[in-house]
Amino acid sequence: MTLQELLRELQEFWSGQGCVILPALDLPVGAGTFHPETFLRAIGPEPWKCAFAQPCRRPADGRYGDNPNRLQRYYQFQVVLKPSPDDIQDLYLESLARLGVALDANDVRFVEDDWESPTLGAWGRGWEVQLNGMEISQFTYFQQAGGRECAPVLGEITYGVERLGMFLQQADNVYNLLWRAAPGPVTYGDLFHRNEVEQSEYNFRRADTALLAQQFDGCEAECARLLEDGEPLPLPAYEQLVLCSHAFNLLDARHAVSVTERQQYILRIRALARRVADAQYAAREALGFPLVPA
Amino acid sequence: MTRTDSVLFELGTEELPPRLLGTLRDALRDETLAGLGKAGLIDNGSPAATDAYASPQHLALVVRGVRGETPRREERLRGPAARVAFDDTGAPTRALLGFAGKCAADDDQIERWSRGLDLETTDKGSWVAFRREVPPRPAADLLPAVLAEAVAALPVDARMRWGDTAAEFVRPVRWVVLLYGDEVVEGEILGIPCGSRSRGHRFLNPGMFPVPAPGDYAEVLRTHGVMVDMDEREASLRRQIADLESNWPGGAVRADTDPGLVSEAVCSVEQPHALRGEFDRRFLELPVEVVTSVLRGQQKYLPVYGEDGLLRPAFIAVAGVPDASGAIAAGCERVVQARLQDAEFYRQQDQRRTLGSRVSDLKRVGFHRKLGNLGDRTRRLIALGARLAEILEAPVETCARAAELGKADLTTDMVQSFPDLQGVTGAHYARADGEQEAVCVAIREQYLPRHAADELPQSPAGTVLALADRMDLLAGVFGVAEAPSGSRDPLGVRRACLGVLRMILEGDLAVSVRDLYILASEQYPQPLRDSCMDAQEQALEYFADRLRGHMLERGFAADEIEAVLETGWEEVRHVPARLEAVREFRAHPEGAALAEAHKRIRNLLREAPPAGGDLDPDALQEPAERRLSSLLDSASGEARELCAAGRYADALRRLSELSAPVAEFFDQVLVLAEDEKIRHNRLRLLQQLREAFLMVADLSRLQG
Repeated sequence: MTLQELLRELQEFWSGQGCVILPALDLPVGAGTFHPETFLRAIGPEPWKCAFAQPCRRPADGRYGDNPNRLQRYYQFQVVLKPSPDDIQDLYLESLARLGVALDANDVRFVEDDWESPTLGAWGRGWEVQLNGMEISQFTYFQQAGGRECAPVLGEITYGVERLGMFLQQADNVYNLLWRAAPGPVTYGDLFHRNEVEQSEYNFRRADTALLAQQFDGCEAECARLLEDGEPLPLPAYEQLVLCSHAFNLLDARHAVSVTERQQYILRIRALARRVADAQYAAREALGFPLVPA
Repeated sequence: MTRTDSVLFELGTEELPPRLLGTLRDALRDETLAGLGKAGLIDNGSPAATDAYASPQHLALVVRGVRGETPRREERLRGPAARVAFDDTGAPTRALLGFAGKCAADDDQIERWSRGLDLETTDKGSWVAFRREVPPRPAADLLPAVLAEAVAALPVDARMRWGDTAAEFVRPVRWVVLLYGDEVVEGEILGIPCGSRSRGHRFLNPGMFPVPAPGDYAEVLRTHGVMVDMDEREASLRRQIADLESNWPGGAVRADTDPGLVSEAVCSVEQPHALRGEFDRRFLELPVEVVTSVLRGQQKYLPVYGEDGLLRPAFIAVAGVPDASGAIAAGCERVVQARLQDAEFYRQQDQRRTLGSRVSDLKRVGFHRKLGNLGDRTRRLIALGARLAEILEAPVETCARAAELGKADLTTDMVQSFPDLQGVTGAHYARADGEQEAVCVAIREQYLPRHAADELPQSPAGTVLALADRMDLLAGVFGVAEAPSGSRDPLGVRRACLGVLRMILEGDLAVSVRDLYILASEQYPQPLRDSCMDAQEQALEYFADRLRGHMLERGFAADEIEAVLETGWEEVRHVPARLEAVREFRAHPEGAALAEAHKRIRNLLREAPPAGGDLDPDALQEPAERRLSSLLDSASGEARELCAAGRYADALRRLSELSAPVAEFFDQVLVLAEDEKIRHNRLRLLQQLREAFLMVADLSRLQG
């Protein structure tokens, strides 16, 4: 199964479960959790079901295209189910079966892993899903987001697309993964190897740290300003937060932050996350939480 | 004879954290037995009447001999005192009527009370009493509440919510089984209706099925692919491991069956399947700690050793389903290979520079915001190490070099990815750089002991570095007033303290804790240095507390410990011998009397401290005081020599020979004589006596 087919299968499966299939966020994020369709939807009492593929950037994980397993940008397939359904685990396992994973002949395990995002002020309980020892998904019941209790609880399933692809294609090297087969094979490396090389060089050696720090400060100020005015704008404000987070990730990869500074940056983003969460909640409340069933 | 039968309770959950399984199983059993007892459904419930089960998705309990209904019993309610039950006219008072209303007592009962019947009488008086029979209640009525309470009482500090309910548990609960005999008990636990159906193995026997009766539970689950009995799962896994070990291709091997790893594996599967895996032999060139960290720490696999004791390029993993096609083993191997490849990459990258060349990078790595960076710390450790090397007679240059390189590995990719390999990694890289072996060993040993039962540094330089590292931390932390409180100790101060104490005690090191603290403080720049010095007493008190705890754990009594600590403990290495001496003294027939005498002496000296000056032998009048004085002279002289030789028990024994003369003294001599000169002289004598004993301990602190 090529990655192209894999993404289509996942989309179809979750569409069949009632999820709205959405495009990826058009901003650089470290995880599908940062997509407003996850984070902002986790806030407040309104239900939601959606799914989307999301490219994720983790600058510090760059390996110049040399490591067969590690990438500074990879794809997640994100599924949001709020409230988390009673059969959420079974649905996930069914999706794996649909992809061709023989569940009785492979070792699929839910391994305790309570996820946390210090920058988003969010955390949950759940597992990493391992397939024959390799992590292929994260499975989380959100307990808090933006410092607020999640009620109902948002169930988040995050598939590691390349990981799953490597299992299904029995590949040892991510760059050899078939993105598509017909009419002519296109590999992951064909598409993204050069990006890995250039971005790694940028992330580790070339990024202008003074500029990044300025960008962080600027976006932070803009986010705060957009929440302060008489009519706060949670959605544009949140986008500024996302940009702050990415700037921080780049600074971190450049080793441009000391341990103390690192902690400070995280707290600053978290403070923004709390304010965005409060503004989002207020905005939905003002509308009467329209999605809550009558 | 009431009917008794068995109860089956099962919580069906999503995968529970392995480390909690045993605790939850046992706590469910204990809480349920307590609850059943309280409800009157069992008497003195014993674990022997139960079977407790736990697997990742099943937490269950069978209790035998549970009554079908609570016994009939009589309830007695006490009302107002008899004398205020009726007024002068003989009419019932309002108090009585209120009570009667509460009990729904009829007129006959009131009439009986008016005639003085149905009273409860003690030697304190008489009260109106109402007796009623409490009818038996069926178990089915009581069981849901008993079990709900037991579940709520489970020792889980981290509960979670799921879906849209208010229910909270460790992991989402998806089904509940509650049977009394072969009947379902109607009720709800955590919002889920109780039923009789359980669920089979997620992959091998999916779907729900009925459990006919409690006694069938384990068997029915087994036929559906779930080994609910933890002990049975463990036994099965161990057998499989032993099987693999003896049938290993190329000759028998020994797997690292670390109890923690085995337990985690047992608690992660519904049925265990041990399998064999291999990795490329070239990875054995990596430091062995890196390989075992990948296998054990990251993957939870068991490393495998040959008969020569050397690590094999192989491992044992545990799967939750049979590996019929070998696909699982292949997958595990792939993951291990990838991780080892990463480690190999880190090492290659790291070794493009020498460890020594990294030392200047340490100034970019933080240590503590008020105590500077690792570059500053390294400088302090070099200086402190040099001082300690002198005191402990360790090779000075080795200590200096080891201190210089000690933290350099914190800048390596390897340690960034494997933080628990700090020290070990530095040692390997130093060795590869051609550093002296003793330096490499010291770099590794500086972090020992890593926990309470861990080994101690074996080399002199390792001991010096380990002490320096901890004392630098302690002096700094106390200097910036960040001493740990009860539960918050982010810097590991408590562990550092205990490490220092263990090293001194077990190494019999001739150092005073105070001196160590001062030396460490002196390495800090001003004004920190002054702050550290100012915090001396606080730091020493913290040490003393750790020492107390340590000695309590070694079985000494609290008052014995106080008796010794009171008179000085900073030369920690003498403390155990002094404690032994006190304990032996206590067992002695004269012990109690002498301890009493010391209490008396201490009180006397506190109320009437003698004036300064020496004892005047000529002012000793009574035979008893002259005898005591001369015997004390020789005894204390010998005792002093014995103490200097560390023979505290002998010293106390020698001093205890003064028991009779002391008793005689108190019998025949009036200490607080009228004459000032004589009084002060006698007090001085007592003071000398007390001081002699204080060389070992303050016996006045011993209780009873």
